[in-house]
Amino acid sequence: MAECLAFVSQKMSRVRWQPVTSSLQKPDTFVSGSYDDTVNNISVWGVGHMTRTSNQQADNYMDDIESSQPKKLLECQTKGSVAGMEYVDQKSVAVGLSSGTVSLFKYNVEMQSLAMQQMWPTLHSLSGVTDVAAKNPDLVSVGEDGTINMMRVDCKQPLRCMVGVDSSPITSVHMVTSTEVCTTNMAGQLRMYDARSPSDSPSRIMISSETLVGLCSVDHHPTQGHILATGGADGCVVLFDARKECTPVSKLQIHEQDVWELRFHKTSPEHLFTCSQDGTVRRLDTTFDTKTLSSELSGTSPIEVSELLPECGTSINSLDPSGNLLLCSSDAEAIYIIDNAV
Amino acid sequence: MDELVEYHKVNEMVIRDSSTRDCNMIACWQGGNKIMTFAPALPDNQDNFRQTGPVYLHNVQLNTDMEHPTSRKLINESHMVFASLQQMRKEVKDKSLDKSLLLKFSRKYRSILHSNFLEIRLKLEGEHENHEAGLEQQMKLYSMMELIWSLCEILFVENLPDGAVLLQLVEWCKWHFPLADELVQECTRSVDETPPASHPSYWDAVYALVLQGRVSEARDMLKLHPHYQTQVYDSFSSIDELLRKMPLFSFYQGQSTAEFEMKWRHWQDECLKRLHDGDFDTVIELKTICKILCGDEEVFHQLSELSGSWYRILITYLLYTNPTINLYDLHYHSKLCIDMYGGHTELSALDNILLAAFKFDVSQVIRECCIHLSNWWLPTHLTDLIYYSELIPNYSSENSSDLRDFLLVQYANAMSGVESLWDVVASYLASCSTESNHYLALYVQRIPLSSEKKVAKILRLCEKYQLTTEAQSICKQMAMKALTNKRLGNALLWCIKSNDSSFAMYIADQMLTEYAQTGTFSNIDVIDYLGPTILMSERLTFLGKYRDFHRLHGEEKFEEAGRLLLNLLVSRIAPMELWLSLLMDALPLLDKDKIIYGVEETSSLLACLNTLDQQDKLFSKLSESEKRNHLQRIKHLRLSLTNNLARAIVS
Amino acid sequence: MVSVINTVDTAHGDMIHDAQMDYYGLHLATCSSDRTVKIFEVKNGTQRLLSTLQGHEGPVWQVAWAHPKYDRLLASCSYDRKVFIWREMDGQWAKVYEYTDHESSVNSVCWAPHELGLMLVCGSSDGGISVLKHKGDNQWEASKINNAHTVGCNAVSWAPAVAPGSLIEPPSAMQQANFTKKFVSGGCDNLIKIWCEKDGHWEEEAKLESHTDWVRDVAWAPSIGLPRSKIASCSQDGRVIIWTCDETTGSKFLPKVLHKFDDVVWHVSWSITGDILAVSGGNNKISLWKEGVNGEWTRISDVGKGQTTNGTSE
Repeated sequence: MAECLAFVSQKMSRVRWQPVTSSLQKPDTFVSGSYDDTVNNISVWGVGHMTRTSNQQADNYMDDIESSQPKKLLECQTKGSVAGMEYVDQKSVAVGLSSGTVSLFKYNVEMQSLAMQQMWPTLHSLSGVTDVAAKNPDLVSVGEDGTINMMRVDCKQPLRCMVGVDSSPITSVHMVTSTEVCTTNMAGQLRMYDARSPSDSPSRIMISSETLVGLCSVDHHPTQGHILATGGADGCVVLFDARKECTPVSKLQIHEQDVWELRFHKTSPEHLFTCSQDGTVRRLDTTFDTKTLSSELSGTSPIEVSELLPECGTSINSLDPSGNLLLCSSDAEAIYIIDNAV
Repeated sequence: MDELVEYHKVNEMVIRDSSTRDCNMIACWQGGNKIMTFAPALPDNQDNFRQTGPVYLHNVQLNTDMEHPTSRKLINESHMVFASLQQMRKEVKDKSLDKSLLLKFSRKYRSILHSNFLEIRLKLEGEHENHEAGLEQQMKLYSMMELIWSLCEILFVENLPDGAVLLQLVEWCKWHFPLADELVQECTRSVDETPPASHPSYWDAVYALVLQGRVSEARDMLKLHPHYQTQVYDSFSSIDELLRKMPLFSFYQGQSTAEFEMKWRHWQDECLKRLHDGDFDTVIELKTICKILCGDEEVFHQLSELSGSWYRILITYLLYTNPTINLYDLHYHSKLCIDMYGGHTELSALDNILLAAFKFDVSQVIRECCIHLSNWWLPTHLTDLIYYSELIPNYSSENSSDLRDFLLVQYANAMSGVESLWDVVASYLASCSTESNHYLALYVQRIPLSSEKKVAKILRLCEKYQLTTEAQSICKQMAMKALTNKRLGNALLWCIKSNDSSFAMYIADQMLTEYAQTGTFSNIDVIDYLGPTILMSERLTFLGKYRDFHRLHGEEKFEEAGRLLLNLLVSRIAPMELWLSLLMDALPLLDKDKIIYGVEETSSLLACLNTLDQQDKLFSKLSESEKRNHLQRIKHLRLSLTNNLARAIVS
Repeated sequence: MVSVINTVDTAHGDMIHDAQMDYYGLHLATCSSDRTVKIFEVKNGTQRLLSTLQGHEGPVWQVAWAHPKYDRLLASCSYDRKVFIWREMDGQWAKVYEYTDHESSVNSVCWAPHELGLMLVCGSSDGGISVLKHKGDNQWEASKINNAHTVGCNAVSWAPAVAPGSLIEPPSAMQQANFTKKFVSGGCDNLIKIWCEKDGHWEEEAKLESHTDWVRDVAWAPSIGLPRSKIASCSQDGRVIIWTCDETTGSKFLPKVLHKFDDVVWHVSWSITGDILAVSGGNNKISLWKEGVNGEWTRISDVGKGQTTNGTSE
């Protein structure tokens, strides 16, 4: 495992690789969104070989600095902290802001352009958006106000506003299919909503613990859609089977503090990546077979956990695995790119 | 706003605001390093003074330096090093850290300074127009800080034995003052047009190399001279031999100082002999070189321009006169060199810092850095690394921890203007040696609670440093905020988090009031999943049970529902204000085909109704229409319950 | 380095007498001779006017923000002899309480440290000092110290909440009742007085004599964990005095003259960490004073902190 560390003079709340067109392609571009600063922005970065195509100047830069260092290619100011960010397609990114606004940004590195394409202003009150999810052309945003909004890329008006459906703050959102949305909240619940249902009530509520420890993040298994992994404020990774009962299949103490994000590897789904407030990034390796997972509770653990980053002491807020590269951002205003993470 | 003139005097800041001429300026702190100023009238003469025109308020800030993107990089990168050093200290407890380990930390700090310097230089080269203001100043500052840091590292951290220190200092010069390399490059670059030796800088390049003790490179340069011949023994071969034979102290090869000194004396005697024998009289430049080798004071005066500064000539001078000099004797020779450059009065701030270092006076170095550098970075980290680690035995540790605390607070305050650096600020404040974290506690209370996620991070910080009172206060504020925003569920979660049962009861009451008024709960999704936490407050327990009743009723489990409802009333868990609502809830149960309440149960319900009927105090609080409604309901209930009693007796 | 970041037109019709940032620096309150109080929102270093609070019938001298855990509360005091408490609900500011028990201009208001509960002290030109305690449900109970300073009281300031023994162990939430309630006042009798609550009554604990003319302002420094109290005072006599009291050796406050100015000194203000004192004197001057490691006070030099120009780029 090799890592590259870049200090970027801003705290990044989210980092995302630009989706690759084939599994053979190495990801070379990513976006980041900053938070908690006087002026916040989203930036597009190039890594390694990519920058050669951009312009001459970048070439010189790469000669001088180690070639693995990411180079900022484009930047655009946002009105508020970036709280949620997700790629909709190759070149467009949905961004949720602390002002409650969700925007769609489109960029083109060759044309040196990064601009807002669509905006849904002030969808959320209080401290605004906390997360967004996308499944082209559908978008979902959630907020501390307990509201869920559904949008479509080309529609100026949101398709559906489910105002205050959760009485605790919603912490994250994920789209399992274009109609199936799952959310996590501060009360430790994982909820499933059906976009086709006329009712604003969740189709299911699953509980991670009896002690109301909040959940921070959620992702679904790429091939077995019913397996949902959530990250808790107590450092636990809690696995649910959406087909079965409302209690967890398995609960694993992976970190010591809040699991801010977790992601299955899209092409090698036996790997689950997690990052935490405690400053660690870890990888869980297992087949995610629900049978063996539940037997794990009785002692024999089929799960292997590996450390991907030397402990850095500051919170790791976001991560994204793609190919064999893992991208992370920390509160030390740093971005890490870990090679051979798989 | 051209009527506002601002200027600095040595110890005073004056803001001129012409709209309030002849008034007094008042300053109020607004946070870490910001002050607000304005000009008010005086409380007693307000009758005869009235201000016209716009009334201004000025925001003034101290140390804006830290907001620069490059500074942000320095701050974050060095904070990681700082934090791991503190961690290491904690692990070894009272023992002081190993010197080689401290050297590693020192090099880490230095490499951060260097990479920042390189980056600014790159930026300056890359963007010819519109690069950030003050970038050049920043670059100068970084190169200066690196120069100071590396000297301090050699002298205070590495602390090498006699002889070896000088070689390190020679390296220091080579690294920071690339003049010799530049000259050599200049001469050799134009190989096609002019031969290097004809280049006007040729001899300067050779001198510069010799001054830095780089003899083999100097020999390479000399070989480029057309008069240089290998076969014939002449002045060129003579100087080449001297340069080749110059002994170099090598600490790591187990050479003893005495052994080296003997070799050195022998070699220098030979240089002197050849100089006096007139070996170099034909080529005046070679004579100059030989004079350098002989440690001739006069020639150093002549070449002072090539050396550039007193400290560089000091190192050259010592190299050729006293190569095995002791660390602590360095400064004895500094006066001579300073005089070559105009004496003490000509010394700049940087000169003074370096001089203090050569004098081995760490506290003076830190004092000078505090005064002359525009940020607190260097003195703070230097003090923490060198002074506090007891590398310097002569200073009492008590004094050093005071100084360290003082600097940590200064550095932290200087950063506090940048909102997103709050965790770095907190980390430096938490590293103060005072036992209780009062600086940190004061600061933590002022971090804006902008989002739930950020609050979670702040609470983690409180947890780490046992700031219990502050954490409680933050939870309370979050609960208040949620309550104001009518997010009762969220407010309840915050009460649970901080174990604030009285506030939880208040919120449960709010929920019940809402139910009594509207007949629905808006935050049931939280209450239904409270789990064991529900026992935290009696009112919450009631709320949960009451919800259970509604659920059972909804599921048509009437008998169970009926029993639960009765229980709530008889056990007095239900607050009196809600008894009427609860009794009304019993009404539909009385209409069922099957008898839900038997004789005994119905009598208990009637007893409850009677108790309620006697609550004059409760009744008197109601409005006239509510009173009417209340009485009517009681009447209705009494009738239904009596009917049910009759039905129960009959069956 | 000291620099003016920006200048705000407060839109007040007459001069401002006080400006206070709320706890987190997100809202600013100003008050003026135009009889109003204005609330600004502060974002990215710029201010935006949110509300203008009207109701006072004379110049408003001071404003004070309560701790945010008590919701958004602001106190103001005025030449009209009244103290108002304002509260924000759904973005609207409204006066929720009016205190009218002073017979002359009320010059100073100050909220107690939040650990002590919701409590406000007011100093008036009638020589009296009132302490208002919140009893729940917007009920306030006033206890008045009559004739605290003959001729008038100019300034009041609370001591930080330090529970006895808290320097050894962090106080738990249950210890709340143990916090000592103390404040300092300065008046036209040239005196500084320290008041302490004992058995529900306010008693004069100490009288500090040293100023030779009216005391204009007093400010108790924040606690930084040392068993030492520090108060700054300034006076018509041009002197700024730092009073310190080492609680381990005794309870007497000892004066040290920070500086004697040629003119009246109006205001003293401590930074949050209590290491810098901003002194506002006559002639448009403000000076910043910092206590060094050795306990000596120095004026912060701003020019001296500029960058040295002869760097190393030969």
